This record gives sequence, structure tokens and C-alpha cells, in this order.
Amino acid sequence: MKLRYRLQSTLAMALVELAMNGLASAQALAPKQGAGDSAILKRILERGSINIGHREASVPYSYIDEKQQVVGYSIDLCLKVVDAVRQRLAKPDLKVTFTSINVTNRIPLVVNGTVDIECGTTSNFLSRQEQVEFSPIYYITGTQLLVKAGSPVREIEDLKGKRVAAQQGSSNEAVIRQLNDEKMLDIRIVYAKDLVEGAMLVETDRVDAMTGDGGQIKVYAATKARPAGSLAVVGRFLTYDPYSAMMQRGDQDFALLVRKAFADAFRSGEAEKLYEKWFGPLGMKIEEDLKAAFRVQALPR
Amino acid sequence: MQYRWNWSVLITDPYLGWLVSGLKWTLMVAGAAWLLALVLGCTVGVLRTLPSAWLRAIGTAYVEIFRNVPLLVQLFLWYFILPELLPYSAGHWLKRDLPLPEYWSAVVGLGCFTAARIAEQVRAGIESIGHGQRMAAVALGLTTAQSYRYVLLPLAARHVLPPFTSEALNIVKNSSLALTIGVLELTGQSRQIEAATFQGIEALTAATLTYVCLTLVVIAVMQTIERRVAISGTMGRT
Amino acid sequence: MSHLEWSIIWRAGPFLLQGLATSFALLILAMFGGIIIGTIIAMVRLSAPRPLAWIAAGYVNGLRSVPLMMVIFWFYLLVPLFIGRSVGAFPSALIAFTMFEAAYYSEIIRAGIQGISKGQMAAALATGMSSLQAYHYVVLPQAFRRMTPVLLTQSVALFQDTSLVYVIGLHDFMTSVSVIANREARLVELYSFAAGVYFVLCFGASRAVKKINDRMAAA
Repeated sequence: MKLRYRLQSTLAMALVELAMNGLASAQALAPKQGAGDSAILKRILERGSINIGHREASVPYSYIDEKQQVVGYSIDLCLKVVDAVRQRLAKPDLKVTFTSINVTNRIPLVVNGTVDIECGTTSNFLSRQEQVEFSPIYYITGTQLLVKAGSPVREIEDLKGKRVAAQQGSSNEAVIRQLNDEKMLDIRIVYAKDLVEGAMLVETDRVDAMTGDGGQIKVYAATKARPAGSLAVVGRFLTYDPYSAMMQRGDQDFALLVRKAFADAFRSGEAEKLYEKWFGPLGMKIEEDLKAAFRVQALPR
Repeated sequence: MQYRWNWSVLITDPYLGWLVSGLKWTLMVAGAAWLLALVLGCTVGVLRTLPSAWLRAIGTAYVEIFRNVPLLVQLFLWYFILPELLPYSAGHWLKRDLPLPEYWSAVVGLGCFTAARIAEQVRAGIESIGHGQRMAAVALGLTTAQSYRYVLLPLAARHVLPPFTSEALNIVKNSSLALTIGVLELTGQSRQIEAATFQGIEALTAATLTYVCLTLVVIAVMQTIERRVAISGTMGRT
Repeated sequence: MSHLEWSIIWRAGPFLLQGLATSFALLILAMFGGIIIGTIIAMVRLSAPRPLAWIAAGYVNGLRSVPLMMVIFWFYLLVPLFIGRSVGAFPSALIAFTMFEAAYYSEIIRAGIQGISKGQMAAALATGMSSLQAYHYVVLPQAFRRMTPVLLTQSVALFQDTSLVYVIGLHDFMTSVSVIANREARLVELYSFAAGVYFVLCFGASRAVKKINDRMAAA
């Protein structure tokens, strides 16, 4: 009696174990559902919405358009992440809210959890990775010079002893300061609050050039110069600025979800289409560097 | 919060130097603007109490214009718009030949803005003296200038001391807006450190504490004066 | 500078109006909250036991010694740390403004109360009122009558100060102006427009304050 019972129970346990193993392997194959261990997904689920951090006037990356909608190339890519979150949480009606951020508060707001994912024009630096996690790279640019068309200035070395505008706290300003010291260029740096004020300093002849992220100043010269064609972008890349989206650090689950969403967009060619959608009308063709970055980061599923 | 604190960044070279240089510019902007505001503010304040209706109108216009537009906007107008409105050579001088155009724009902008507030205090101080004193001065045969010099201003000075010190406090704090036209004062430098090290909260803390120290000194002086001029018999705590 | 284009302002009208509404909402809520808290602080400083009075004084002097821009920024960053979740830009700006303005209002109110003669308070207490009752029925009504113009003038300044919420990305009037200015690269038009709007509103308000002042002086 006793023996039979024991035999039965052993058999039953073996069966249960077998079944559980099978379940586990099935689970490993199917995509994960629910928030799991991810603190960010849990808080999105709790709030019923995902909060995107956006810039106000960084055309065409991340800005508020005439209909007061937050739009742009970076935003469209982040919306791919939103789709992935909706699928993962099985909440197709998950709301999207927007918080406007600027250069000063963007890192603190990601760190303190106000913003779930930041979609602007933030360069992915190793030193910033001490504070935040980054998505794959979706845009590549570097520091260049905005000058008046017809200016003899071609490179930074031509600006010896001249005045150069830079956005406060930008990586562009840092590299000009460094080159100034190394090459003893005797450049006087004039600080501007944002790109448009810097450009205005060039247009009103207060400075001889402005430094900025090549992509952004090209967009400015192409769309905002008055009269059209009165501004030009010149010079080699003085820095390497790869743009990525920021999120809170230490949530591997969420970071993986973001990486997957971006890799999918790169692999399927959607990222290139989005580039064409936002930069094509400005007459800017996708560059080889970025195409290569898309290919390299399009990891297989 | 997963912020990685690193307070040592504040005493690392070159960031400590940046903070010190920021403090220097804060004091230079606030100090020069304060002198301008005192001179201009007292003049306009006196104008507003003079017998001549024309001079009073000029004083009133000044106060209303400079008091009713935010400082942020005024600084922008001084720095970006003024040189474009001037004749070419004068504008060009402001833009290219004047050393540190952003510094002088900040001083003039902040000084003119604060002068309007000081003028109001001076006017209130003079008016609070009462008509009797003014009449008495005239009866004594003093000219308008003399009555101001020997009667009205010395009396008014006592009334305006506390609000003046309070304005000095404001000018220190308002000098932080100079960063919007490119003067790297204390707030501006703390943002530079943020950008260079990504330790923004530490840099902001340092700047905030420096402001607190600066203004606590001013407040301490103010309260000493307040206690000295307190009139006995009112509800003031002594 | 030569080709100014003003039609942008017309097209951005709804956005700018929305910003103006946000500024007004901030102004009115922070004014009410600030005056109520400010009155309590002023009473504590004048009549509560010394240690409490010192805390109140420390609060006032502490907040008055930091630029408003920093106060707004700190509230935005620190409030989420204390309550464990983010509160959004508007509530956080509102808390910061209310606490900040309470410090300023309390100084005005304290001066107003101090201007009331000591005899009034003594007389009220002699009729058997508690000191709270004395404040409520005797001291505060007189003090507020005297202070109204100063309080209103401070509120006009508060309205201009709302422009500082740009540091946390809240779209008040000034921030909305600068968003449009930067997106369209029309700084001159938009900033001049902002100067005009602020002037009209604040000048109108300060005229109204003067009227109130004159009427009260006449009464």
C-alpha cells in the first residue's frame, strides 16, 4: 500500500516536472508578455501611459508643429518603441503623453523617472552612459561651422583671432575651446542660448561663424536663412556626435525592448523611409555613415 | 533614483575655477548694474516728485516702461535689437568694437530694469515725508534744489534703506538672467559644468548655495538696518 | 532684420493664447495660495513662540535668497524623489511658485501688520479675544486694507516671473513665444510682440492698482 502510493506519487511528480519543463521551453520561444521585472514597464502599466521627452524646436528631429503636435524624425522612431510596448503589455490603447525637455533638464528628468524615453537630439557619449541608458544610434553628425555664404572661412583654422558663437553647454563649444587652446587660435567664443540665437549672431555680423551639430545647422541654412541661400555650412567634422534616445539606467528588460524595436526599424528599412520623410523635403540625402550604422545595428531577431 | 553622485567634481580642476569665474561675473554684473540703478533710479524717483508736470511725466513714463516688461525680454531687446536700430557705424561699434558687448548689455538692461523699481521706492520715500516739510522748506526760502538737498532727501533716505537693500538682493538674483544673452555668470557656469561632466545636480547645488551665501550677507545687513530704524510704538518685534 | 513677417503671430495665435491661459492660471492660483500661506507665516513670525518664529524666518530668508529659476528647477527635480512619482510640470511649477511667493507676500504682510499700532492688539486682547481672534477681527482687516496695493504690485511682478517656468519646459506665454520664435526663426517679431503684450497687461494692471490706491486714500 505504502509502496504503491510512493511509486504513484513519484510518477506523478515526474510527470509534473516534465510538463513544467515543456512549458518553460515554450515560454522561452514565445515573446515575453507583461511588465515582468522591468520597473519602467511596471510604471507605464500603472500610469496607463508612456511619457516621451521631446524638444520644442529642434526641426525636424523633435519639435512642436503648427498644429501643436509633437512630431519629428526622432519622435517617429520612438513611436516604434511605443508600438513594441503596447504589444508587450497587450495594451493596444496605451496612451502616449509628452513632456518638453531642454538641454539642462533632460538627463535629470530621465534619471528621476519623469520621462520614460527621451527622443531629441542627444549625443550618445560614454560619460553620459554613467547616468543613463542609450538606444541604438539613429543619426550621425559632428561639429561644423555655420557662416555667411561667400565668407572666406572654410575650416576652424581660418577663424584665428575671430569671434565664434556656440550654444552654451554644447559639445560643439567644448571642442572649440579645446582646439582654441591646442592650436592657439585666439578665438573669442560668444555664447548663445540656442541655435536660432546663435544663427542670428552670424546673420547680424556679430560673429564670424557659429559652431553647431552639422545636421542641425544644415537644416537651419536650408530652411531659415533669409534671404534663402545666404548661409552656408562648412568645415570637416570636428567631433563625432551619434544621436540616441535616452532612458533610465539599470532596466535591462526595457533596454532590450528598445534595442529590438530599433533593430527592427533598421532591418525593415523603415528607419531609412523615416529619414527620407523628414529630411528629403529639406533636400538632405541620407549619408553613407548612417546607412552603414543602420546595417550594422540591424541585429537578427 | 539612480543618479550617480560625484561631489568631488566640484573641487576638481578646472570646474572649481569655472564656479569661481561664474561668481566673479555675477558680482561684476550685479555690482555695475547696481551703481547704474542707484544713480538712474534716484534721478527718476526725484523727477516724479518735482513740481514740473513735464518732468513728472518723463519719470512716470520711464518707470511704467521698464517695470512692465519682463527682464528676460528687456535683455533680449538691448542685446539683439538695439544695435540694429542704431545708425550703421554706432551699431557696428556696439557689435564688433566694444569689448564684451554681452556684458555691457546685461549691465545696462539689468540696471535700467532695477532703476524703475528703485525710482518707485525713492518716490514713495519722498512722498511719505508729508506735505508739511515741503511747505516748511519753501517758507524758509529754500529753492527746490535746496529743499531736496537739505530736507527731503535726508528724510527720505531713512525710509528707503530697507527696500533698497531688498533691491540689492534682487539684483544679485536677477543677474542670473544674464546667461540668456551669453554672460557665463554663476548659473551659466553651473550649466557648463553640467554639460561637461553630466553631474548637473551637484553643479546646481553649488550654485544655489553660493547664491544663498551671497544673499544671506545682504539680508543680515538689511535686518540690522531694519532694527535700527524701527519706530517704537508699532507692532514690530525688537 | 529688414524683412519682418508678423503673420506668424496670427497663425500661432491659439498656441500663444493657450500659453497666456497657463500664465494666468499659475498667477491666480499661486497668488491665492501664496497670500494664505504668507499670512500664516507672518503671524507666526510676529506672535508664535520664538523657536517657531525662527523657523518661519529661516524659511522666508532661505527662499528669498535663491533665484526663482533655481527654486522652480529644484521643485521639479526633488518632488518626484519625495513622493515616489513624477507630478508633471504644472503642479510642480505651481507648488514652487506658491511656496516662493508665500515668502515674499509674508514680508509685505508682516510689514502691514507691524504698521498697526500695538494699542489695537492690546485693546482686542483686553476685550477677552484670543490672539487668533484679535488677528482675525482687528489686526488683519486693517492690515490688508493698507497692504492691498503692495500685494497687487507684487502680483504684477509675479505675472512677469511666470516666464521663468521655461526651465522646466512648461508652456506659459513666454515659453510659447520662444517655441514659435525658435521653430520659425523669427526672434525679432516674436520677442517684440511679447514685450508689447506684457506691457499692455502689466501697465493696465498697475493703473488699476493705482486707482484702487487712490480710492482707498480718499476713503
